[in-house]
Amino acid sequence: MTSQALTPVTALIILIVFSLIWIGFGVYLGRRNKTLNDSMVAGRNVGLALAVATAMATWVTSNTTMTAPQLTYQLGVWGMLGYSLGAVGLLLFAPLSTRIRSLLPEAFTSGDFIRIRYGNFAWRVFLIISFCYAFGWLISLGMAGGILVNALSGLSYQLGMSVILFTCVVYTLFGGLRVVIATDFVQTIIIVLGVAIIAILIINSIGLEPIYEAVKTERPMLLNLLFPAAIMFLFNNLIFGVGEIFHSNVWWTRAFAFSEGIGAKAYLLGGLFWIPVPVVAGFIALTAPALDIPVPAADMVGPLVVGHVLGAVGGIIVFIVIFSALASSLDSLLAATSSLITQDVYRGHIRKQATDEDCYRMNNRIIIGLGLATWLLCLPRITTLASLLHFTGAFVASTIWPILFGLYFRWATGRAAAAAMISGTLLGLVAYFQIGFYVAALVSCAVSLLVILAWGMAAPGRYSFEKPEKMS
Amino acid sequence: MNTDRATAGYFVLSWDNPGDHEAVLEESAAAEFTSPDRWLLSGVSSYTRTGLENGVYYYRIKGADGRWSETLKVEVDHHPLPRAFMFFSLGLVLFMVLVVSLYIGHKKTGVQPA
Repeated sequence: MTSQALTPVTALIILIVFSLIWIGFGVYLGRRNKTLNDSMVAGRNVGLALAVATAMATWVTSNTTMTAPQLTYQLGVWGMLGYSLGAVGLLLFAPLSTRIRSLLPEAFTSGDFIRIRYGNFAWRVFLIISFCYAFGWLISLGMAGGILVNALSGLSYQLGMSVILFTCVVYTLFGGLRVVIATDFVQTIIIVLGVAIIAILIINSIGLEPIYEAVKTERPMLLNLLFPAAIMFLFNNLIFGVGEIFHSNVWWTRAFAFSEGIGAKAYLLGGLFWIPVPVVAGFIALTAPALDIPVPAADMVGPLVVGHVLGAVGGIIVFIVIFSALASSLDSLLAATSSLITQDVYRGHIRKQATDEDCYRMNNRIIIGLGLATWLLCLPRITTLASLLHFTGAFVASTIWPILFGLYFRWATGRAAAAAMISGTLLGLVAYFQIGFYVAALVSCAVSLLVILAWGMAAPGRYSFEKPEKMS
Repeated sequence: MNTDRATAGYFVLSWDNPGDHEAVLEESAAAEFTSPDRWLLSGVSSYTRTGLENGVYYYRIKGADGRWSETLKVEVDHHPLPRAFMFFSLGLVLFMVLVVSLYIGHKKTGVQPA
């Protein structure tokens, strides 16, 4: 049978208290924001400690705290370990961030790079892909908030989703990227401590042997290292993570925001610290068979197990941890996506003469609009978190090669990059529907590579990275 | 249920439960439900089954009226291993191309990897 770990009143109190804390933090730090530079790239002077924390906290999200248990519940130990390969994206972005900072010291968005490097057509294709991904991620985060509240307290999905979304919109609106990075630091500490405490309490209360025996008897494929779908998933998740990080403005704005020489170290350390989090979070799902917990939807397994084993105390801890993880990603995504719309759509397409002050005001309106659109799209709970996230894998994996080759090699051209992104996305989507979510990114990435390489060999470009390798 | 042929060993069983009543769900490898696995479910209208090996599984549910539902037959038929390893190999090759390209790029531009 199912039971809620928290009473609706307790859940509401936590929601209100933490919402007020984050909003208060946003208003306080936001007082220092005066320019577009402050709002979008935090003055470009973020130090190492905050940089590591924001890299890690942003990557610890509903993906990690709720989807890692889901994928472990569905795909077993390979699902759990495969999820931790998501760290590779952060590790590989470390050297890229140095290159980005040296090529584009004054830029604001990933779109700036694609426009300058590849021209308008590829830039527009890239923007469509970026927005599809950003909305997919935003919706998954909003959904995760609703699922969390519903699984732990019985409060309605719509209520939980609305409160968490509203909170993040308000404090991002007041504080911009500066407060997003500052809250990430606090949220990182809460997440790491909370996940560790939960795992220790659960293992101590059940014991490893009963967990192993129950999984082996009732769900043998979860321990089978030759589980076909899980084997297919392993590199798909790695490629998906690389695609997410390489293309997303969330990570590019940070590369612009970190002080010079900080980016590579921050992404490297953030990635290393991140690796154990999905393993620990995913392990929680393997205890469900031993506890005989019926799981209505796979993405509810984490909160259900914690609530069942640890009761109200565990429920409160997991509630705070996941609320922090959600907020740390939702605010980052709101800030980065609003920057992309302001810079690449508003100033890039609609009002090319817009001043920084115009863009600063427009950016705030876009944050509100994004929050509203996300709320509307989250209202119907259309699918599970993992399915939604990996749907976007078909989009983002197609951008890996255009980004990588565009940053380092002269031969990559705008037409080749656009063709690679379009063909990769389309065939990735075919794979998603014909085979499963666990191969969409792989197929997209492979097709994109073949197209850009073939085009590059047939009609190589001669792009000139200006001396001393600055693009303007 | 979302599919009657599960290729990844997991699927979702769902049913109408307007009053959030308690229900008993049974799973068996035999259509006659000899020695079934049984779950007591309360306040839910779906159940996610995962980790099953290849085979045919039968399900039925008993609600507040005490009557068993019609039996549902689910065939679990995992992807063939050669297909799984083909995708694994593809992923490995892509990863290696990625790392090598990044290394060459850094070497060419004179920026040292972190």
